[in-house]
Amino acid sequence: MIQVNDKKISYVAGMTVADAIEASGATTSAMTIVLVNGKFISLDMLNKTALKDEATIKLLMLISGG
Amino acid sequence: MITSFGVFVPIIMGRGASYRTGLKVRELGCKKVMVVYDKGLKELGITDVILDNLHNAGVETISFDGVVPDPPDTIVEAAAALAKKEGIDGIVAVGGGSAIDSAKGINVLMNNEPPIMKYFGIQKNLKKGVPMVFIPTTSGTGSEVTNMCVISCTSMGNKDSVVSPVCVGSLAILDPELTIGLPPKLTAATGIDALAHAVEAITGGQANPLSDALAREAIRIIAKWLPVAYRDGKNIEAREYMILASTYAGMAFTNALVHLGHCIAHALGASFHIPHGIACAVTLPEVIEYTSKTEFKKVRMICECLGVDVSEEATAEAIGETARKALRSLIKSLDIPNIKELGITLEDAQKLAPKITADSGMALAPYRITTAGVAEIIKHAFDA
Amino acid sequence: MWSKVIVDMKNQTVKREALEVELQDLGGRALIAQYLIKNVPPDCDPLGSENQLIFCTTIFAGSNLTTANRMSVGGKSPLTGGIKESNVGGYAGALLAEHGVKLIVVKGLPETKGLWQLHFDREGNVSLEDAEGYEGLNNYELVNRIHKSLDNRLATISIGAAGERLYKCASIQVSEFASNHPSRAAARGGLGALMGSKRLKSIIIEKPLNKFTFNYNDKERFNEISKKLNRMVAEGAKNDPFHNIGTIATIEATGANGVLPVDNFSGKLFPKYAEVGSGTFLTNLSNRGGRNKLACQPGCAVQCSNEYRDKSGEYLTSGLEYETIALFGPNCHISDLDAIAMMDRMCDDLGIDTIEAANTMAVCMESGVLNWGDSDGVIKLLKEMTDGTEFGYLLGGGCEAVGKSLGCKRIPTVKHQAIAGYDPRNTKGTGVTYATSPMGADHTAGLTMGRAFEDTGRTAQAYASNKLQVAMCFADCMMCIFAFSHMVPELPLLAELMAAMYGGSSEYARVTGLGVKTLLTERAFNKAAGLTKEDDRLPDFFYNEPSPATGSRFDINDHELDVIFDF
Repeated sequence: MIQVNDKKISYVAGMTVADAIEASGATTSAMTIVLVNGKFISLDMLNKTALKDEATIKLLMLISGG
Repeated sequence: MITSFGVFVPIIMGRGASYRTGLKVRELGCKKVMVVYDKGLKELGITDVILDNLHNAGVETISFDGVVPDPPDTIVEAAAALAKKEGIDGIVAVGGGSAIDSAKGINVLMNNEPPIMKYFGIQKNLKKGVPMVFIPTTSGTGSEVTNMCVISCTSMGNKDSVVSPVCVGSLAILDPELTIGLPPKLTAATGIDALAHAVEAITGGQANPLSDALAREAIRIIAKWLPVAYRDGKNIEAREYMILASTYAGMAFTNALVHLGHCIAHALGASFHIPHGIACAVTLPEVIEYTSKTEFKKVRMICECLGVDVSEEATAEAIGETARKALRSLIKSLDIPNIKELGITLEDAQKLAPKITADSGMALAPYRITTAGVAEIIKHAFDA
Repeated sequence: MWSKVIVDMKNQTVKREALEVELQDLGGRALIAQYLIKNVPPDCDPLGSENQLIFCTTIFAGSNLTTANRMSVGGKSPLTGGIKESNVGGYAGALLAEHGVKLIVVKGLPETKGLWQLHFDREGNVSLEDAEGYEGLNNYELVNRIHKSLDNRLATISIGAAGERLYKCASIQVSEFASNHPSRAAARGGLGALMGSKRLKSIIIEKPLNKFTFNYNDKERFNEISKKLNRMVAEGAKNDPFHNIGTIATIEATGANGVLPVDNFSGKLFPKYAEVGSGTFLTNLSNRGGRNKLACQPGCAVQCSNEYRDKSGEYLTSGLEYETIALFGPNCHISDLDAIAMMDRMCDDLGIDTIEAANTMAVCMESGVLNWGDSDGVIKLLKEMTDGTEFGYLLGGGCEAVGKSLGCKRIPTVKHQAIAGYDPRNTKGTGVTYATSPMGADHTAGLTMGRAFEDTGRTAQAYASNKLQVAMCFADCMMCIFAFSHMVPELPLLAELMAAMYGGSSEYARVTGLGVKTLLTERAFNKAAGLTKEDDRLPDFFYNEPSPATGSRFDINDHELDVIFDF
């Protein structure tokens, strides 16, 4: 089971972060920040980063500047 | 300035082009399409020809003939439910802007959950729909080449639009013969809608050299041929030019966008139920005069396309005034009524000013205009 | 009824009285604008006796609305020469509200030598005390000593040596809730120098034994709405990068699209931006015992603050923010997050604005005083500012003064105030805000990134800036803008909240009107202070030099800027 924000999706062996996000029905944009188990993953690494089962993915949306 | 021109729909055009519908739909890989139109078009005999044509090409069809003006979300949602139930793999829309926008709305809902109001605004991440073929029967909206559809929201009582790649057609078929039967009043109103698209697109903040070129050509054609088509609907040359001009203007505005004139038109249309083209026309000359303050180079182009001379030394104000007069005279030549002649009082029309300045479309205006400024425009246009 | 405290530095008198009725339901930026326009001559010398330094709480201070305890500081800016409202988190706002105080006015200049502190004690008394023993101290040491001298929960508002020396980049530092670090800054516009000119070293606010209770018009309704809004903020914060990471997360967006300033706003991309980004930050926090998700004020649901430690696990700084990282980092060609954190600490301690100071360093690099990327050199120059060397004093004059003195052609300032961490060619609406905000170049006044059609296009930029400048303006009267951004779908409720607290209209126009009226008042003040249309422009190089990242120039025409506040 993979948690993507509030959604749970089933884990498939070999799945990347990008695959899990897609399977959850969510989308990313340049203003999205992705954390996997609390670790920051840059957008260009989403399809190169493999997931382990039970991972928690957080998709964070930048809405204002710091 | 760096600009972009990103929305493009392939087109086939010419007298009789609609006879290729079946071939083209088959080429797109569609086996069962929903054909979207209004009942009036069937009475004119236009849809049967197209339906036959599709059947002869081996394409199965489901008809949706419930199109009404200013398509409401409820009808679009019902049609989408039918389309999904029937398992269609393509949509063909025949008609004016309402038919084409209904088709787009249906396509938005093919793979995105209703209600459609969820998707109002600019949508970059909608799931794809099915191929769409658009066959316009009026020369005005340009919807066949745009990436947006305007839908009436029944619960909110307003009109809003979905802007998305899902609203972009796979093919537009421009057949001037389908516009021959358009009565003079509708010819004028839809033609002025196209003019409004062109002159607002060229003066908007998103204008770019390609959209400018399309808009200029649209203005030139409309200035010359719309009065001809209005007086003599059977003049096929005028009809050919007008369907081209409305497509040019549509291509221009879907890339460059429209602004204040359309905000005024939407408010007038919603409050007084006047046809969109007429609502666009009534303040268009004043709107273009207003843009001249910053967009005088573009307004000078408009004047040239309308065939009026502007001296080299003319100020921004003088250019704006020249454009206003030229546009007014074109509109007058089509017997399009002004606000007063539409039976609206000045007070009632000016009451819309706060609603107009609050319209999100004002984001596209070339510079900020106050509510008082909009009321002033309405006053000038009132019985001009 | 809220009270005000009037401190006259001329004779060192302190008076507490009821706040005027017409100011009761104002707060933050609106209160400052209305107070200043009536009480401070716009053409006065900012460091002279006619200028006044004012501190105030927000409209909803003391209530249970999350982040309502921000504090605003105002006066005529020594840096911009115009009106200034600089707001800050930390604990001071909450405790002022507990004392029933909405406004503190500090006026006049002392006629004798000396240094003072204003003290709200636990009994609710307020007095001016001698602080000469604190002369020359910087904020961390000062706050440390204050805490040693008083055994109570308290908040501090203070200046370091920079404020005493009247550096135009001087900030006013406020202590964070819980940690007490003086790391929250009312940084912009040199208000630290104004405080220094008054010879007021600090304000100490002890937690009172008896908490002031405000008499709500309709407490039940207020609680009902604030509960709803608080829930929205808490819900929104769950997926807010500022909560989960910190404001540093902004760099992931700006670094990729050319908005992040690089090499003194060259408009280039910085290939190594990830080294000063979220990944490095989170790794360093977890490896060294640092923390994020901290609240700078009690009751905050966003909790964007953090505590950053050095390699040996020792506390280095807190409230390490995007602007500081962007401007001391890539804008100085520096990619060493630890060095940047050290710079942040030095700025907080000395009491200077990190945005102004970092831009000053970039201008020094552009002028050849330092090499690009020389983080040791930056720390050395900050040390000169701390030590008060001759060059240190010049640096304290701010980015524009330094740039002019060094003959720099590319000085990124508007109204003499340095630009924040967003290149205005690649988020043009933000450029419109920089140009036209009565505050001078200020990202918090209306950052449009991601909100216009295309950040590098012309369309809707002035429109987005106008809308945001109004919204940020009324937000700055009420709460923290980070919490505010999660309430956007329910903004009309803020008007109901005002009515439930103070009575009167619950129409949304009351709230938007507050924003519009405040902006127009600020514009009127600036006009009377001698600012003109020409002050509402970006520096020439943004118009003339394309950003190599995008090819974009700032091309919003002057007329659009001139009419942006035509309401």
